[in-house]
Amino acid sequence: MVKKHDKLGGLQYISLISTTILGVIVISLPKIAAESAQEGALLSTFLAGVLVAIFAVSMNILGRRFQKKTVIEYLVSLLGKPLGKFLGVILIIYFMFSTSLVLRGFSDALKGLLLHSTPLEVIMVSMLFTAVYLSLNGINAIAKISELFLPIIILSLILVIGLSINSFSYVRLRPVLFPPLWRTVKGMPNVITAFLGYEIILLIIPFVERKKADIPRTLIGIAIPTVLYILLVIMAVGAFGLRPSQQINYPTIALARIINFPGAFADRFDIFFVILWILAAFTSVANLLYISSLSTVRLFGLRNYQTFIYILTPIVYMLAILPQDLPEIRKVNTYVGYLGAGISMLVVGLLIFALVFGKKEHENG
Amino acid sequence: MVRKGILTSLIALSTIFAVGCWDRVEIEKNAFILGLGIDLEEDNSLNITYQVALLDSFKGEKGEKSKSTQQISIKSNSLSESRDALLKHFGDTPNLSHCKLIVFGEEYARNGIKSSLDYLFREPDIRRITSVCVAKGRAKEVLDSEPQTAPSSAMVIDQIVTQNSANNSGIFPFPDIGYLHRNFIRESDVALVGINAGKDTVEVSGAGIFKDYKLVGWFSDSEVIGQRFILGEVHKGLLTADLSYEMGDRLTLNAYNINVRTIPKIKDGKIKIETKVFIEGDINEVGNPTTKLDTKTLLEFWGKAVENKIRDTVDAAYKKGRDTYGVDCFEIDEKIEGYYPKFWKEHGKEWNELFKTADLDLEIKVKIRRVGLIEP
Repeated sequence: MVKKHDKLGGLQYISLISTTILGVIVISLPKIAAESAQEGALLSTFLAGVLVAIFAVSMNILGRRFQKKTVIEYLVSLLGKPLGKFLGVILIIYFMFSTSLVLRGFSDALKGLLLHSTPLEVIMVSMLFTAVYLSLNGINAIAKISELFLPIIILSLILVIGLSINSFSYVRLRPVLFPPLWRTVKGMPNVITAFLGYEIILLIIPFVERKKADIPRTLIGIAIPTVLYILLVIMAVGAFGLRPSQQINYPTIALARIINFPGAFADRFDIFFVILWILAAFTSVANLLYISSLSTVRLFGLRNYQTFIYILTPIVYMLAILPQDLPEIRKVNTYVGYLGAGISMLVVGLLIFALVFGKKEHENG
Repeated sequence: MVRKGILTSLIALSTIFAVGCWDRVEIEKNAFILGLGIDLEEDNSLNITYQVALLDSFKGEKGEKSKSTQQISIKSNSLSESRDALLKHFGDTPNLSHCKLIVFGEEYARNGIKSSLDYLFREPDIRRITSVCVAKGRAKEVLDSEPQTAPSSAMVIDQIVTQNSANNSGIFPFPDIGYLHRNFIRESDVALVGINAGKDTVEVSGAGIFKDYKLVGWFSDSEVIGQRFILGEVHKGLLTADLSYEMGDRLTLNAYNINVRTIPKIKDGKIKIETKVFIEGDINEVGNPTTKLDTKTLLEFWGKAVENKIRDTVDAAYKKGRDTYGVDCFEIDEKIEGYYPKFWKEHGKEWNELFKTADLDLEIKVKIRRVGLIEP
């Protein structure tokens, strides 16, 4: 049995970062990149990964300076109580919106792809309950599930990428190989939303073995989704072309749908993929729900995060069900993306601030 | 204790909400649609034919061969309405997820297929690898045909276009919804596999040429070979050349390695399509095997003869597409966009006019590697 105070290992740290990022958006990332960055789809995905890696490393360094504290507490240490608490509230709002967006995105996609007759609310509630069940068991259980599911999620994506290679055409990929810079930069804010969730680093460092939460492991955690995203963009644009990739709602599912095994075995490979993708969505929702409640608990200086999971669940559900249609969901997504980018930049600012003023809390301090 | 109670209630609630109950359809309650045909009626409405699998006949039990499909035709204004109307014909749930073939009737295709494309692209059940073809006649006749070699005409045609096209260069290789969608978004013209159907036979024959998604003409089998060379979508197959009786009469080459590279070149605003073909093959059959020349001379001569035949075939297909119909069904526009994105941005809209001036420059090399078990 896992002891409650066991620290997380290095692999679990990597898995938590990667599985939180690799969520619902995996199935629509090539569309987001092709639509927002056009010819810059590939480069903007790469640059977004690099930028996120810089943010993540900043978060890691800052987190390790305040080894025993989460972002909610060291914000107060760094900026004073009123401002620190205020930013803490913003962060909680961001995490809650992120959870609700992943939940809604997952439910909408699953309803459209597989469960046409099942009410949206039922899909959402089922997923939320399952995520609540996992989150209640704490960070150790979440980390173990992430560690277990990450290879499965990676394998499923690699299979989709590898098996659809027959449809790949270098000529179709060419337009995105030599992108105009301004298009690339223009598309980046939207592409970065695909990495939403890496902010988990701000909260999990106190739970990881001191030496294991280092910069290389942080980079690996970001590199896994970045490489998979890049491969997905390459394959989708190579298989469908740039303009069709902008029009297909779930290009990754479309890739899974062009895979054809000879014979009756796996005639519908996309169904296998969707089932495995549910795992990716599940780990994202559970991880985000957990850090939402954890940050709320830390903000109020309390200990029992479980109560807050029960309190936050209906709020997350309400936030997820509120957008009436696709344009509204996209609007919320964009705003939350901007909020995430703002938070990341704030962390970089704080890091510089902390480095300049040399404020550091030691383990006993 | 309270926590355990809450957990238990959560788990209990989860089982009540178990997702999937709403969508559960027992497998035998599915009406699997294998093929879908679209014809045009005299009053301009659509006649949609569904080929529905009769599951019992697919069980593989020994005994007398029973009918394995049933065709249901519905007069309707759109594909969605016809699928809805299908519910009036049987108690099972229509399921398109295993649909193998979409057939456009010739008259409907001549009138334009655009009206039905949106449904085919949008419907989640229809896969992008579902084969698409155009009937030489009515689509219903293709689906009504009962080939003795397989349970359904839709399955036979699907197998021909997806599997046999790899070995027979006369079968058009781009058969699916994905190909149609890709070109539809790019506003490019297409060609679709042509089908001849008899009472108990189906035959893949040539390809229908579409301009602005209206059928305007046909490629013969040999022109399909030419088209495939320009597309770079031919990898192996039999190639033939007609010779004088003294030089062998008729030569059949089993080309086991065909390498094609098509690259557009733009110089001073003039477009040239450079296609380089390299073929390796073995002699499969010679009409008159009693030629007197030595093997080396003969192989060189035969290689040249095959090169000339391919050149004529490719030229014929290209000229038919470009000059007769003004249709770029060779995906040259896609190559221009890939290699010259800036040029394409500026001139893409004028492609129909530009294509008429694009010349094809062919370079073909044939190497005959082996001659079989007897000397030439």
